[in-house]
Amino acid sequence: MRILVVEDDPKLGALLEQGLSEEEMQVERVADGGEALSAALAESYDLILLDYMIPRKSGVEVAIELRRAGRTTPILMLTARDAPEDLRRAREAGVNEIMGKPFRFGELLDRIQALALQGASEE
Amino acid sequence: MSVSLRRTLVVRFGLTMAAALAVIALWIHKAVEQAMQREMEESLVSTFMLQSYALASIGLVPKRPDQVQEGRFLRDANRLVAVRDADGHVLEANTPLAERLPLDTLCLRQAVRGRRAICPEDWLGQPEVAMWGPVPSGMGRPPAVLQVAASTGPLEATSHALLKRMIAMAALAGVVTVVGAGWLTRSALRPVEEIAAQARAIQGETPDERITVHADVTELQGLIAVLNDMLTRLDRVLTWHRRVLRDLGHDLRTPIATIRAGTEVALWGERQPEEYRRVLKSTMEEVDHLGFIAEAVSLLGRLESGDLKPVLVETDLNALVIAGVGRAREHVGGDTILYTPPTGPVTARVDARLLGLVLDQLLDNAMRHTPQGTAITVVLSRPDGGTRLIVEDQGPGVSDDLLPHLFDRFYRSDEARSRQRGPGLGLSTVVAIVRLHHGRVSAERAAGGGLRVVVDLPAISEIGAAA
Repeated sequence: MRILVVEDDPKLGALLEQGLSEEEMQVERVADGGEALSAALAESYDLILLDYMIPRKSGVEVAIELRRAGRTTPILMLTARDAPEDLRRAREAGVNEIMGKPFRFGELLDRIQALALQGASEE
Repeated sequence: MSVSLRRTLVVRFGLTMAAALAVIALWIHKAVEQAMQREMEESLVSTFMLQSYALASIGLVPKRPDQVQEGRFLRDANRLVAVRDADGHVLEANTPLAERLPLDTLCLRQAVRGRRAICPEDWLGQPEVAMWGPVPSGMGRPPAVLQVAASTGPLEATSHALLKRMIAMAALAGVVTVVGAGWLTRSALRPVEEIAAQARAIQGETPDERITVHADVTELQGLIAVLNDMLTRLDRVLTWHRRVLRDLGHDLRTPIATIRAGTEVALWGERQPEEYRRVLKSTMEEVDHLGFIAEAVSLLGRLESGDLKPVLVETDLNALVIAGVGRAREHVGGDTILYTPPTGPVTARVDARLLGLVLDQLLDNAMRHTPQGTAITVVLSRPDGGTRLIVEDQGPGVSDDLLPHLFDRFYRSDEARSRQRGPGLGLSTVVAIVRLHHGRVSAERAAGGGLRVVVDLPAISEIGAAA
């Protein structure tokens, strides 16, 4: 499974990369919205793990542009923002699932696998 | 103990009006009384002249007709006429009662000397007034004195009746005034009560709620403007506090998530001791960061309450900046932040912890706005004996019209911010801390278009003296 991790916090990003790699996932990591958009448009991923608040372009903006470009890659958003308005904006942008920080890593894995399977079946 | 404004106004207005009306009533009564006395005296003069002409022409005083009783004559005519000789003996009178008129020797002497006089007298327990004057000789009669008297009892009775009516009128007017004052004060205070009711209904849940009732009343516009200004300020404070709480929640979640995920991943399987050491080190750094946030929240509270006193210690500012730049480089890479140290030593009596927070905040702000791969420049110098710290980024900068508001307490230029390493206190905290050191913060457009923030601290002696 190929996953794009978009997380600007280097420690959390590294942890996500390590944890997912240990689960035999192929992980690529970027730290801002511009890089995330470029990578997601250029490559094919089974899932994008997207932080909400990232530099240059927010996670919501990245999701909007990806959907506008016709990309249906499942997006799991990690966010420290849990205001109803933020969640609504994320869903309207085309985000498939939202997980609040902090999170259980095991639960994150379960959701990633479920979303990736769902994405694969839709394709 | 509360004081009723309405009751106070009613009592004061009622007393004032009652006193004014009483004074007016007394003044009117006095004026009417004086007018009646003048009328009485003029009437006495007329009667005196008529009697005098009668004596001169017919030699007799017109008498009371026999068919008119004494009492009725007194009540209807109210004029007693007596002719006296120079010794005061009554020679003739218009009625037997007039023969008993009192003799006022002073007035008699004046009349004998040819002068007329009006003299008040007390007769038979009743007040009366009499006019005395000479009667020329004629009709075989020697020169004599004419005394024309009238009772002032009816005059005084009228005066007393008038006074009673005036007092009654003043009392009635006082009561009416009190009732009117009550109505007036109720009418005047009702808009204030309605304004208060609307103000009470504003709970702060909906922004931009303002007082609108009676906003068109000229006299109340000032009060409403003051209240609405206060609501605006409270609204801004509430908004700011809510945003601080929200940001605090955001700032806490990521380090907690890092600790949680790091620990969980580490416990999944057997690992090398070095790997556990790395996880523990990372956890310790995140705990330090949480401590930093807690400290920043505490600092924010103390800045807000105004009881933060800087602990001024002679500090090597070059070392302080190197440490701050080092902290920032841990997060953005070593070559992104360029530090230009001063040519010589720069020391000042400052609160090193607070100034460290200033640098962290400025660098955090720069890191959030400068594009990846571009440099952030930090310069420490000593112009004119003071100390200058410059932090410059190559981000989009801030438009000229927004530059003056950059350090406003409620300003935030970037809603879709990235993760902050700093406490999220904003540039206004920078201003507050620098002001504690009697310094100044300014912002300008950098040569490359980014933002250039300049912190100027006064010379060592000034800071020390100010502290």
